[in-house]
Amino acid sequence: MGWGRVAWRLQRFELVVLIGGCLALAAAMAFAAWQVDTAQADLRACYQEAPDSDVPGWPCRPIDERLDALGTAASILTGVGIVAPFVVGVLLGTPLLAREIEHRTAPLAWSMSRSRHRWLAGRLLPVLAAVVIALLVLGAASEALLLGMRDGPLGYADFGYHGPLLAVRGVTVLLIGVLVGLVIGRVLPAILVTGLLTIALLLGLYVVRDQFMRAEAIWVSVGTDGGNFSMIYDQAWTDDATGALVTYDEAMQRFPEAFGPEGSWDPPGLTMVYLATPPELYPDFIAREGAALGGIAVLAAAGAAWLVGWRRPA
Amino acid sequence: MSGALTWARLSFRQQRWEIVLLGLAVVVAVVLMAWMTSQLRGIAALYPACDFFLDGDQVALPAGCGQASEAFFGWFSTAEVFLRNGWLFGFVVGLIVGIPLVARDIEQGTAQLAWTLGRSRTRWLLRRIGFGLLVVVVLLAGLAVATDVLGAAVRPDEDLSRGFFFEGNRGHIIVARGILALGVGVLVGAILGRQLPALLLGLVVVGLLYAGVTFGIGQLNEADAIETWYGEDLAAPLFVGSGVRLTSGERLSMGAFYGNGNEAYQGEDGQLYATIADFEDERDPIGREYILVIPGERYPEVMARSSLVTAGVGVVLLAGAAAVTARRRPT
Repeated sequence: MGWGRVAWRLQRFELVVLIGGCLALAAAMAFAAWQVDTAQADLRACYQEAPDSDVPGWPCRPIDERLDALGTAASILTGVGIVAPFVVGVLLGTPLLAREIEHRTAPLAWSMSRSRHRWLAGRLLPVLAAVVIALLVLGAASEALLLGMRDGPLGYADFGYHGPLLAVRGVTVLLIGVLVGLVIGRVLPAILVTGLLTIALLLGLYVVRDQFMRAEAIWVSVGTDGGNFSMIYDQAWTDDATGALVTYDEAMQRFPEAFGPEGSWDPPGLTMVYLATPPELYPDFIAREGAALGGIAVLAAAGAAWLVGWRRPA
Repeated sequence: MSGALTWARLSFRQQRWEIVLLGLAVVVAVVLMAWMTSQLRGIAALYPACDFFLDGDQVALPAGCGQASEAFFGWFSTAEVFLRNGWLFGFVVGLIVGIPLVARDIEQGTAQLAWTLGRSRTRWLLRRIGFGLLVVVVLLAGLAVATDVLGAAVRPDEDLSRGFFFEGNRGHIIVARGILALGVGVLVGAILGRQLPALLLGLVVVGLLYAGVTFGIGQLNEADAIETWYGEDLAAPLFVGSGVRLTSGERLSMGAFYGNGNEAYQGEDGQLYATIADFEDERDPIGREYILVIPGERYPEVMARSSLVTAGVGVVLLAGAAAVTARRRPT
């Protein structure tokens, strides 16, 4: 409890703003999810009475517009939600040690505690617990909101917007921030470096994930759930007679009359296919990213634990 | 002169980490944008007959343009990420340079000594602000030029000096935003006296202020806009708004017209008709939809005005920071 009180006093402004902000955002998302459910139920009921939406003065139009407005609100809320773990991680993790070193209170704090590692655990664990709880709540609320807006399960278009991955991202960035703060020993420069490292990390994860998705993509016929839930990389045709793949340029050469301004874009004897990552692999990709981030978090924590024992306090 | 150099050296030493890191980030961003520019220009030069922005569904493209187009738009997407998000950099640079100008001295307890040793707090602050302003302008000027050059490479078919492509995401407006954020950072830092809370509050204030400035500039643009319809050749205009002009001459917003439950049938030229029979016979229109735009040829003057307003607000905030610092307790 003593550790918790100290951690609270030292970072109370940031904890109130950031953790409080996450919880407020989660509450807003939960409210929006409830409103979406209600509006959709009302619209379904209204459609039973007035199925023709083209007539002037269609009675369901206000409900339809309410659903549109909720859709806009959901986009804004989930957009803020995907950024929240990084903001929380950078602004809570980086000053944890950097401030002590910059303000020259580290020598006293380190000399008064039994060991620097115990001191680090005492400072870090309460903040880590608060971040994990807040971001798990945020992830759950975001998932509920997104599920309410979709007709089916979540897919690649929702990657990183929902679920426990938000908490894993926040914890990883927080621990990177702790390590960078310990190395640099000054708050603002450490925030900058942590921010840049976070951007580089995200870009790297995106590139690697994209490579894996391309490698695991398969050719599927258009219309086989090739919409929102699969990552589509390419488009071609298959020859109905031989099953061979026919590229766009080959199809254009074979059937020039089917393309261009007067064409039907439906060459005879060919079926359009997409190169798409199967939707059932979506949870795997989330798990892989979570594992990668977890590994980086463990490395960052180990690095901070090692360095705190060696670093000069000023 | 030597006094100014001494002061500049001292200011640099106090913010050396921030300046070096921001400088490195700007250099990396500019180098990446220059590389993307060279790739895009290379593809455009290799395939001069291919107009990548022609709709292949409407016009038959020369052979080989398919692959070239794919390569071009691969780089286009990456360049667009930089262009659409680079504008944030102006705010980050301004805040990171501005916040510690006063807040760090107060937080670390050195303000008391610095303010008593100097002839006046205002002179002290003006020198610090002058240096901060120089850093912000130099760093962001490089970024501003790089975004303009990249924007031109992304649209080789257009003259970006006479069109609103990527409006707000390139050019000197990035520098103006940096000055706005510098003003916010110095003022909030002077009020709070702590760097991290000032950064948190500064992010919120910059967001709100930017929304307010954008709204104000939007009002100025709306007063300058011309009423027209889609299809007019206005060379990449700035879309300002839209509405309905009734046959009586009254103008209504879209929300005001359609929000009252009005239904109408719209022709291709924007004319509105009350019934399907009137629509088919093109008789007795009830009004016409219009769009408000500023022609592309006015890009230089409109953006210069936006930059002046944005930077002007930043200068006002800096003056406010000077007033706060002059009266503030040093702890």
